[in-house]
Amino acid sequence: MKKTYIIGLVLIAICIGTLITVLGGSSTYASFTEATGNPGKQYHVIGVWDRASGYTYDAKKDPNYFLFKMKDTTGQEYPVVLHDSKPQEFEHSEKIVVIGKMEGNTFVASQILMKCPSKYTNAKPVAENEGKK
Amino acid sequence: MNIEYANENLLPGNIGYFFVVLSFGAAIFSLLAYFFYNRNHHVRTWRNYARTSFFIHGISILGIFTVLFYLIKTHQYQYNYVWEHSSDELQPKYIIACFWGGSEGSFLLWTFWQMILGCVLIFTAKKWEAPVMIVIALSQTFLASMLLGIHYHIFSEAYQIGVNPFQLLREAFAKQGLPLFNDSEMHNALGQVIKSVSKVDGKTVVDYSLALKQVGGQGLNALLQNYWMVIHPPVLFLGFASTIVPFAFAIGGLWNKDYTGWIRPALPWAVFCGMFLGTGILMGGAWAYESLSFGGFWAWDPVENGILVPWLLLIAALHSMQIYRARKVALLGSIIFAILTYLLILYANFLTRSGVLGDSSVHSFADLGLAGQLLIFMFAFVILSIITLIIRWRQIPSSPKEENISSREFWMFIGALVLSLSALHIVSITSIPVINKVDGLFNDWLHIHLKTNIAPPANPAAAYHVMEIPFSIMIAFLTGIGQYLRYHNTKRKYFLKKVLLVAAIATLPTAGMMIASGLYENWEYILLLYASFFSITGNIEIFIDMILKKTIRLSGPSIAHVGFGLILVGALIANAKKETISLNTEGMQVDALSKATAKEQYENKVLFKDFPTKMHGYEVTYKGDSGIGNYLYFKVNYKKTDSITGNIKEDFDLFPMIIYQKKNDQNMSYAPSSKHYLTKDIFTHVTSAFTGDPNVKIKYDTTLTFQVKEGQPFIADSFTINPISIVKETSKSSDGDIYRVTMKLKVSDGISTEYASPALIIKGSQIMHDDAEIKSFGLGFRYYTINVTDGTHELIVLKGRRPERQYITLKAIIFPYINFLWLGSVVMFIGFLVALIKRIREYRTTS
Repeated sequence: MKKTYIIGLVLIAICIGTLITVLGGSSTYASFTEATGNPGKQYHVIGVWDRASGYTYDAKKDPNYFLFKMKDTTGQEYPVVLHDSKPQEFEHSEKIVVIGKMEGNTFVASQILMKCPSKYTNAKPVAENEGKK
Repeated sequence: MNIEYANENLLPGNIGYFFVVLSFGAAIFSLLAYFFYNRNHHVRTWRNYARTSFFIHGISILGIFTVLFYLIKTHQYQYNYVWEHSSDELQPKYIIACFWGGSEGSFLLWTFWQMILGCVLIFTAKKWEAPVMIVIALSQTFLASMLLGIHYHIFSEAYQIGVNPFQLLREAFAKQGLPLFNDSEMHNALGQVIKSVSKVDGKTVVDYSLALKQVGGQGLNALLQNYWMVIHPPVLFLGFASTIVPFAFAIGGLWNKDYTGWIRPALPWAVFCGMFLGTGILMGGAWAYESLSFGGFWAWDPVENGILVPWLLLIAALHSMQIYRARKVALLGSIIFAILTYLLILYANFLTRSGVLGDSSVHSFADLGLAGQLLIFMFAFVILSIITLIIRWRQIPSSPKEENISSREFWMFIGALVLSLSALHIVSITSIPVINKVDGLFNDWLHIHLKTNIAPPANPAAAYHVMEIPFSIMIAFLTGIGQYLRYHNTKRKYFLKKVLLVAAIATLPTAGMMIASGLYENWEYILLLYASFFSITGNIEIFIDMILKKTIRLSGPSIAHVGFGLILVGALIANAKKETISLNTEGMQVDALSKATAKEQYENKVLFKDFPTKMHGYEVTYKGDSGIGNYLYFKVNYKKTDSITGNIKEDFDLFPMIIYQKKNDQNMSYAPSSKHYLTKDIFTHVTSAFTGDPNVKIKYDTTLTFQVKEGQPFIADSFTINPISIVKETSKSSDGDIYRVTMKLKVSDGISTEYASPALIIKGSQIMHDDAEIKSFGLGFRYYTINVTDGTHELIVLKGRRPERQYITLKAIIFPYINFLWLGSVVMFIGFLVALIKRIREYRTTS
């Protein structure tokens, strides 16, 4: 019976270890304010693109510089920079999740996830028209 | 308002919906009939009822398929599914892909395969037919309900059961509260307005079907317009559907108190399932790699993980079941792994379709509002499994003695445990978005008390690799060692001799690969590489041994293990040593922020048309673009010259492209193109493009006049112009002959070369000019006249501001040794196939 116990204990230990690594490796949803308070730490910030202020992407000048302003869920607005090309469906996005860290007054994103009105299907007419306004 | 809809062609939709309801009803009836048949095996009447209703259920599913196919094929856009997922331009091969382009269609595919498997089981499962078919009919009932599309209200809260694939477009719009048309006109998806309303005898008649015919459907998502979309889903869903079979046998065994008898008939199915689910996953990887812009074959996306986890558990179940067959131990493990496999399939189904991943995956299906129903589906099976296990727990026979530590069964079971731990790790990270949803149900207790809001890892690859690499190392070693262990116990001398030999031989390919790929820096990677080669070497040795002993029919496992080892080698090296060769080192953007993060890799490079750029020893040039249908191809030339002799060593074109959902559509996706070598791939992917505006009007400010001769080049401003040919054509008309003289010009700015053909038309005494332009140079040409005296031609060159030069931004990545991955996939498939044949024979002869 001893062997079974040993294996059981090792299993439990690995399970606990696994869960700790999962928590340790996870990130946190935060507002820009929280991210500012802890510069250099990676956060997920959810928000919407401030359409009125547009975006900056001039591939000829720098193909790895995409800048836009995002309003987070608490209403704070910060510039966000992505050192990559402009994401394909950026204009269609309803909601944005930026993953990255605060550097000075700018949020430097390593990744941008966009929630489009419907992913595998298209925008319904109304949503599309809103986007054009 | 009294509205009548003209030309809606409701009949096929009604027939289709009739089949939907029939398939649901027949599944329930079959479930009940099998239940009674299982209670008393002597009453054959129940069996006949059960079988008949299951066949009716099957025919209904085929009916749904046929009607939907007819609607898509005949472009009946008044039906929502057809409008959402197809269009007139769609190539015929993608019509079949429209079926599973949407969530409803993929439910249909799943239910179709499960129905086929059910029919096979009716004829092959013998005494297991009743319990196994109860489980399958229950699952089919849930799946059929996903297509019902019933809407109802309880206390003014709206609920729905399923989404009807035959829903009309106007119904779908009405449900979302969107206006499809107002009193007098209709808005289509493009925002155009179409007159489709008229008054007849005081009634308002809307003919939106006709209007939709003119504008067409939304088309298949550009991402999905790929041949993988035609073959990957059917294979994957066959694997997906087949996970229910080992589950049904295990549960059936518990119900009918035949705790051990289920393993033999379930084993061939477990192999079948491992084969198709595994192949489906790898095909998904191939698709992602070849034609999606993920930049790799595996992105640890929740959609991918969701399906990998059940596969890992299934492989654990398969090994446990094999241990039981050989040694009558690990019964409980077999039962639990088989059950967990299917429950995790249902969990994956919930994750990808409920919208819960909304913030963390960009690849999940659109949320159809079925989250509740999907949860009920999952929990029904979870509760069923738990109750069955609790009731029968004490009666499950346990093995009388412990496995010997030198026995194969002991280490095989350890391997199964490692697989399940690896599954646990992956599913935990993937479930992070679920934690927040669950927390939301408890008034954000976690969020408030722990002051945190847990999010998926910021760097997914690192978070998964930290545990998955050690697990892979263990599994690779175990698959190598396990082959040299005997069931019961192993002679130490034999084992040590063999294993040490294999361990020594495996150092050779490991060292060779390290030198070839330059994989030195990470000891974990090196260990994984060694473990993989250890497994490959050992299993090849066993395979050769089997050929010599003429027992090749038993070689399935060793072949599959070789394949698995090769997959690990390919995945490891392609991932660890992939190299972005389009790194932007020029640093064009010189603002402070860029400098601050300049250490990071900037992966996009701008290529102006015809300007060669150096990349990793290649001269890469964007040569132009051409559109075919809804595809826009970019020609990117790679050239490598020998630095000493100047000879061209390599010269090839790649055609990365933009796929538009439909012509003139905003929705698009960028598809890569790769040059394949035996030892590496050069992956090229356009990330943005400026192809010039074809409608631009050039304002000419300078006029230059030249007297030119055929074949004599001359300089105009900064351009070299060569009138390469002057051709005269004569055509007859009622008022005499018409002469058309065309001057073909070859114009170069030193980098790009373009052609233009201005012409002179002489009709009697009339002279007309057919002018030509080269917009990208800002040049216009008029072939003014022919000087009869000296045989020269007068050409007027108009010069204006040159428009911006066309450019693309590009990412190029070298994936070394990725072919190991594909080779391994094929080898593993063959291994499963050999094992399957052996298992089926075994089942036939012993039953």
